[in-house]
Amino acid sequence: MAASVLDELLAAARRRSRSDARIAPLTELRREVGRMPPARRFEASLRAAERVSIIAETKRASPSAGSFSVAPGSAAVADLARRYAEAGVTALSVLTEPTRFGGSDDDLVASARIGPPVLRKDFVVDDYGVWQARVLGADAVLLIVRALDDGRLRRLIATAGEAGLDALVEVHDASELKRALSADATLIGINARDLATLTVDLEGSLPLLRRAHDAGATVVAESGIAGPDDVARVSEAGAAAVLVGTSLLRVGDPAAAAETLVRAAPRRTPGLSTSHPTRAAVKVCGTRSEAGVQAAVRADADFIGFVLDPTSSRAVGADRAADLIRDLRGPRPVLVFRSPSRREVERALATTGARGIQLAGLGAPRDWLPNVAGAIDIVIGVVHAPGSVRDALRSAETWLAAGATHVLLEGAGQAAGGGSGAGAPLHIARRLGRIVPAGVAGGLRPSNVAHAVRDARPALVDAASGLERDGESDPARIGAFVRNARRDPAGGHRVDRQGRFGRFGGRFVPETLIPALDALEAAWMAARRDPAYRAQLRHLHRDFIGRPTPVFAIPPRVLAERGGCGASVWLKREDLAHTGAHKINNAIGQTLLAQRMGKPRVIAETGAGQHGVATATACALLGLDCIVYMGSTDIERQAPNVRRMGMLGAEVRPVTTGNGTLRDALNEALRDWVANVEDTFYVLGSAAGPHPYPEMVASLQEVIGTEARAQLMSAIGRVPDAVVACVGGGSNAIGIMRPFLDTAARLIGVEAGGRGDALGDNAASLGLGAPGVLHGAFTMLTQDPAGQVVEPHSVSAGLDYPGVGPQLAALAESGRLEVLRVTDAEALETTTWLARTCGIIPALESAHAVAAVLRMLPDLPADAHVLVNLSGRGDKDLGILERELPDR
Amino acid sequence: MSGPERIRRAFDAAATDQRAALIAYILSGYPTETDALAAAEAALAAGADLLEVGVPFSDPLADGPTIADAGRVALAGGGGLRSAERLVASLRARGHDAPILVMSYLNPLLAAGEHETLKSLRAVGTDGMIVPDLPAGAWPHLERLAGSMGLAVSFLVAPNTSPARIEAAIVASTGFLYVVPLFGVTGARDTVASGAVELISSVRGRAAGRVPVAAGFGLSTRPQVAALAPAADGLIIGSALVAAMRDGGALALGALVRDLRAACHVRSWRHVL
Repeated sequence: MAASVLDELLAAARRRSRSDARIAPLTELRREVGRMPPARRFEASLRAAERVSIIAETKRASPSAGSFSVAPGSAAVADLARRYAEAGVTALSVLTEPTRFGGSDDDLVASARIGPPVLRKDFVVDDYGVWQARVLGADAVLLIVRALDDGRLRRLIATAGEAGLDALVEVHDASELKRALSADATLIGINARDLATLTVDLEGSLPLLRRAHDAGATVVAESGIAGPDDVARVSEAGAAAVLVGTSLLRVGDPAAAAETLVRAAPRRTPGLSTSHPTRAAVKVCGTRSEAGVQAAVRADADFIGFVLDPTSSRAVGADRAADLIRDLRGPRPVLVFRSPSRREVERALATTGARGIQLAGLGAPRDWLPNVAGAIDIVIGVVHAPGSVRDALRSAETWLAAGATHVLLEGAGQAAGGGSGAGAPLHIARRLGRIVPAGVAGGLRPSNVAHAVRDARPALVDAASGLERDGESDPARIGAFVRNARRDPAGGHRVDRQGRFGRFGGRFVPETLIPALDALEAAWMAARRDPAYRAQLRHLHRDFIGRPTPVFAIPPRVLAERGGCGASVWLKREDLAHTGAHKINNAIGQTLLAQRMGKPRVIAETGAGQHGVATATACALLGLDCIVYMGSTDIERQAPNVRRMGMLGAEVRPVTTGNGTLRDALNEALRDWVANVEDTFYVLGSAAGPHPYPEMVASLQEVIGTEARAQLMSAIGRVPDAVVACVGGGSNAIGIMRPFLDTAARLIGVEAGGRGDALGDNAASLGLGAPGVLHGAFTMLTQDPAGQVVEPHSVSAGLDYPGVGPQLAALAESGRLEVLRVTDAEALETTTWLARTCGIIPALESAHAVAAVLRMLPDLPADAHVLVNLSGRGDKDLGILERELPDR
Repeated sequence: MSGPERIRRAFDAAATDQRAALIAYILSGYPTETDALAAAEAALAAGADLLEVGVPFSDPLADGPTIADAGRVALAGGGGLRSAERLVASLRARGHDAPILVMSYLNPLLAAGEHETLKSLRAVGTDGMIVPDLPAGAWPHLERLAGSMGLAVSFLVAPNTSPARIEAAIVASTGFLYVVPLFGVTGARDTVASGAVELISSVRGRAAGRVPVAAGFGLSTRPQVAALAPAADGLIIGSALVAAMRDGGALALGALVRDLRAACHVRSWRHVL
């Protein structure tokens, strides 16, 4: 295009940013990005691929080629994107430029849902365009060198890094390439098309491809790719990927053309394929005392570093390290060296029995490291004061190729052996971390580590001087550092003032309920700080509910029969709480609050009946009228609980609308509340619903996890490796898991897989659902593409809910919560198994969690400890068990 | 003309005519798409000043049995947001230019992305949206997006809504302000709730002409309409029309609209601000 056309496009882009900013200001975009999970790794997937990647483009027109036959409306683009994905392309490129390319932001939003990483192809010239790309769902953004001066180019590359996107920096000639490399670009597109004349010269672009490749960049060949031969030529010249648009779109079946290119794509020398952890590992370094070690164990750090570098002020001898390591349980020991010889390292490993090392002060020792690394578990390679991202990448890849498991970027001014406290190179780490996992060290301390994690999303954080006071390890600082390092960057660990966990939660209810929710929130905030309320709750926990509930280890021989290799499984016995399930913890707390607020009338919804029974129980004790809404289907399948509620003096109102299950009961309870809001307290039974319910319910159920963490520390001297719970609405799960959020323990939520994965056959809102609003909260739902909520299925009434608590949605999105599903059949079988081998009949809900552990059992190492929430007893399910398993 | 402008124009016309505007709620897709179109045209022919097109939803927690049950029938017949859009498009194609607002719970509006959905609604000729589970200020971006596209948004106010929140709803409502003068969900009642007239007048006073104030939920008879008409700029008839549709089709619905509209005329001491 003539220079003026390019100028027009740039001006139009600037205008778009300005008008869009009036509707969605930049501050709002940044805040939104802060709540989003990390973008997909566009650059890393190209760099690591074994074959040349095909990036397929969608656009409706271009100045050079005229119009293509892509219909208006994002559905057409999404459809094409889906077909490209099925054809095997590695990534997508979506034009959002409307004036000459017929693109739209909606096209990008729709394409980002398909699966492969997506590039925003537009004429981005400002910060706004970059942040907007991220919010719209892009994983990479195009920056055209020709359109930007040096200052702006550098800035936008940095902004992309800050926004968590890759920058594809496009050049056409040698001088533009030079500028891109000076601006520290790592992903470079060589456009064979001259933007001024619109002519394409593929041959002429080959030397540029070679030069960019030799400079260490990941190279994308853009334009002029007509067929497999062209792909081969650019590949030979160093391209890792090709971006094809026009040549696909001008044929009848673009996806078929893409498939041809994919099949013929030549092999290449891939960079390292590495897995990126979902959260930062935490290393506590420079420990020299038993107190320091204990603090790291209590806080459940991932690694403890013992400095063997004799020049360091924090040095310990190998023998002393051996003493400290001997009875260490939980965090893994790492011996820290500076410029060591192979012998030094091997001797220290032998003396201490450690299986981890950290090497600084040298480039990766390619001659001996692979051998040593093969025999141990952890090798941390330190990259000191990298000057640019490309330099850091080169060093990191050398370490990883030599056998390192982690790479640690250290700030400038690091003294020998660790820490003068000078700053960690976050700006480099955040960009490098998109390509290879990278840790950071340098001046990290409790007060700044949460920010560093949010900012740079490192794979590892490390501190030494920041954990000390007066030259000694400070247990309080160690604890705080580990906890703060583990705070969910997207905010899922804690509710914010708008009632959100990350982007989930909130209050989407009819206006009539707003005053009630405000009053409830105020009453709750006051009560939880009030010594009288807390004392009452403690008394009722101990003397009425029967807390603390025990943890019971399943006998080893029982586990061995199911393929266990020595791992221990601990059942947290919430089935022994009064009324037979964890629901009582929440019902008592909320009913006490109702009494405090002077509400004479309590309503509740119930699925399996456990929450209804618990609420009826609490109301009977505290003298309040209780009405329980229960679906007619559930009334039939959980009859014993219905009778109990009657005995306790509650009125059970059958709900016949919809399918007569939990969600209909919840709808009806909400309708009652709207009609009777002034004198009624709604005791919501799970961690779902509008704010403040999810937070309040989680707080009231946290006693489960708090007790269990202390009980296991007492029994095994450390934090368990995994915490497993079934997830319906999520109250038992969040209750046992919240006190472990800041530990290294895996958190595993088990959903009802029902009859299968088809919509309506299960209740797997996290695993198979999509985000939406139900019962007052923005969360994950089982719903159809039109936004109608689909009735879930599970043999267990308590898991049969189409939504899930918003905090669990946030934790699942950030990866902190792993999500599995267990089928009806597995849950039924497990119920019988546990009854016959341990004499415990679990509720069908809880059996899902146990079933998931049994599935994992053969793969768990002998020293693993798994904590499972046995959230309720199964007496209520005997009818179902007899019906479903008649032969047993 | 933007949605807010078209809506305001209809209220002004009714005021000039010395009556409260009548807003007719038509549940899209009920019992079928064709029936819903007939119902909408019957309402307009009978003198409805504005239309609310309801989008059936799987979990209508602000609706009583009349609308909830009808919603299930509509859903079973393939109803939803797309069907509601088709209704709006058909009405425009057939030359009706009365203001049309789409009433939907939040979830169906989010399914395709809020930008795409709002664009699509505006493209078929929708003038505004009413979202019963969206409190004012709970999704500022959605409000700004609607504004930028010329789509009005109506927020609801209940008897227990605080003065601060009433003010927030007034400021944020760019179509009309929806007063629900009772505690409860949709559904015809026999009489007007006590305090209804006072509430509506009080809110209208606070609005001071910034936005027209309409009242709804429970209105089904002439006496009720006559009682509230002096206090409100507009009255919304919902469940009663759905019930009429259920029991007597578009004909019955039209007759009811005609009947209630007659009761909307007010005495000449009504203050027009």
